[in-house]
Amino acid sequence: MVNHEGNTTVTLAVQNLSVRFGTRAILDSIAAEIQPGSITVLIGPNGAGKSTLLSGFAGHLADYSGLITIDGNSIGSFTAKQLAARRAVMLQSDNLVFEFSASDVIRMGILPHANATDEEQIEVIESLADRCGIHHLLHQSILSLSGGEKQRVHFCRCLAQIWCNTRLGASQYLMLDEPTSSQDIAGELRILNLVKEKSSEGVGVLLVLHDLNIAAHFGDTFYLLKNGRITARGEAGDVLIESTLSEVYETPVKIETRDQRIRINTF
Amino acid sequence: MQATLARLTQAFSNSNIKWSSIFVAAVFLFAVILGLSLGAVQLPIWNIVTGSADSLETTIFTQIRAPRVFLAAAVGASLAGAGAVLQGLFRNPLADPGLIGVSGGAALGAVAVIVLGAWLNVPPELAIYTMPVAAVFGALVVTGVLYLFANRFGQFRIVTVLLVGIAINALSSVGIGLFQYASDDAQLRTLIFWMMGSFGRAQWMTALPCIAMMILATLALVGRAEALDKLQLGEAEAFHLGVDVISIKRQVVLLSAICVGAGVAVAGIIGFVGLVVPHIARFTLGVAHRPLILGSALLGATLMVSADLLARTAVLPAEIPVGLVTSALGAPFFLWLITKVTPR
Repeated sequence: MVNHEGNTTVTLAVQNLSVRFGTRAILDSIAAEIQPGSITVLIGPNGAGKSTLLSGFAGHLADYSGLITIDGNSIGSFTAKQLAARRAVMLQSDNLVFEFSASDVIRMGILPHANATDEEQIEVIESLADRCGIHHLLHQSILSLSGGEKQRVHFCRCLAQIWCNTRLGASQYLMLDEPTSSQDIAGELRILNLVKEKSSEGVGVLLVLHDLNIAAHFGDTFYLLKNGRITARGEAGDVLIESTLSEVYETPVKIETRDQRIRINTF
Repeated sequence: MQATLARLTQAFSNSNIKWSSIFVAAVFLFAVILGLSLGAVQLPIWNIVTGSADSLETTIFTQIRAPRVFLAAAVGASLAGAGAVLQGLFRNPLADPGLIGVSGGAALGAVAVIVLGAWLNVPPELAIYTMPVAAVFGALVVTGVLYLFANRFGQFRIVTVLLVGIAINALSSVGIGLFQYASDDAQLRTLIFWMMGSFGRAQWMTALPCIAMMILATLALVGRAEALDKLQLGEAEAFHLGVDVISIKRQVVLLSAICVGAGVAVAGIIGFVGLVVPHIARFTLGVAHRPLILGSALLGATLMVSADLLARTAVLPAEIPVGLVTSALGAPFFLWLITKVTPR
């Protein structure tokens, strides 16, 4: 895609992004980007601004200064519908109070512009649910599910959105705020392997993660945030460094590398 | 095998909804026929249809019975539809246009027009239109204020909306009380009618503009069903799924205010229909807003026509205000609902 300056850029980027809440800076002059086919991971202590930055990439910040662009075009020039056709987002909140079935919730990810027939919808919902390990829950009320099961249903909804958008051809982004916070080890692996698969299909992925070992294993690019600023950025070797992490988390961190695998420990 | 099974389940639940809809529609027709036939004067509906009824019967049918039944159906449909939508908008199973103060706001608007209209010598022909407009305006102000409060204190506080509703209801009754104090005897009789709700004054002239408003607004709400479904996930989530949240919220607030305001303008405050009916509709037709709003409208119309029938036949030749009938049915249901939705 070519932007108005004539540069060919296929990326989702923020430049000089600042967000203030009263006098407190939530984000302070952030520059970051998500590339198609790559997994970008935001790490950092609680309150560092990771979720706010994710909101910025998702186009949901009401009040900010700086520039957020998709393929070089300002995100403000996209309607909600156009944005939904380019990216799927999973937040940590769970707001449902009425008894929608898991399948109803996943179906919400299939947007009208995909022009999917009922048959196609059922098929894609079933195959995605199967891969997320929630096929047996499809017809149950979402309110009856455990936190981890709900999380997988919402993740599956995002995959459904990506599925119908991929039919339209434009580059896709998938943004997940702590997608595995309620998962057991198997669920965590299942979700992140699916994320990896999407990224290898060309989807640009943004993850907010707390588990540094998981981040190290699945991430391609890392942004380490603290107090609304980027402390370190780059590949694992540039960011996951004992001294940097120890300082940012204010906790002694030990890193071992064995068989080219990074192990990050706090004790 | 598993996939086939799931498809069968899906097909079954769809046909289940289909049969429920047909059943609800049949009950509605039955209630309408009953409502048209029974009353202080029994009207054999077949004679009216075949034209063999005498002129008095025909006049009663076309000028008194028919407008009353159709008005009751429209008000029931629009209150129940608005209830379903307000519950969805506030993500709150206890929201009801009466409980949260929307009907009170509408009544205040209507009462203001009754009293002030007489002072300002508004011609009665114009009053047909000023009253619904004032009622819708009152409903709109209340829904807007409620929405601001709900946003300010977080969506999840189910009780907050009800508490704000109590405050708004108290404020509206202050306003209505002031107007009562300032009104003359004739106006007072009219005002009491607002407080209890009745279809006793239904006339085509006054009813038709409101019926049209209610039907159009309810249908327009059905058109927002998919966005309302997505709003259930949360506002940010709905935005991420392509919903223009701010604009949809404004539309839904305006349309549901029209539903409630127009209903209150012609029939006064009729409580609990907007609370009870959507829950019954969810139980039979599911929680997705398209079948929910349509089903609530149909069930609400059925319930209201039946409640009005009861109100005008139970103690012949006198009449009970229909609002008392619906409240008598709805209040126990509300109590049961509280035990169900409040966490222990």
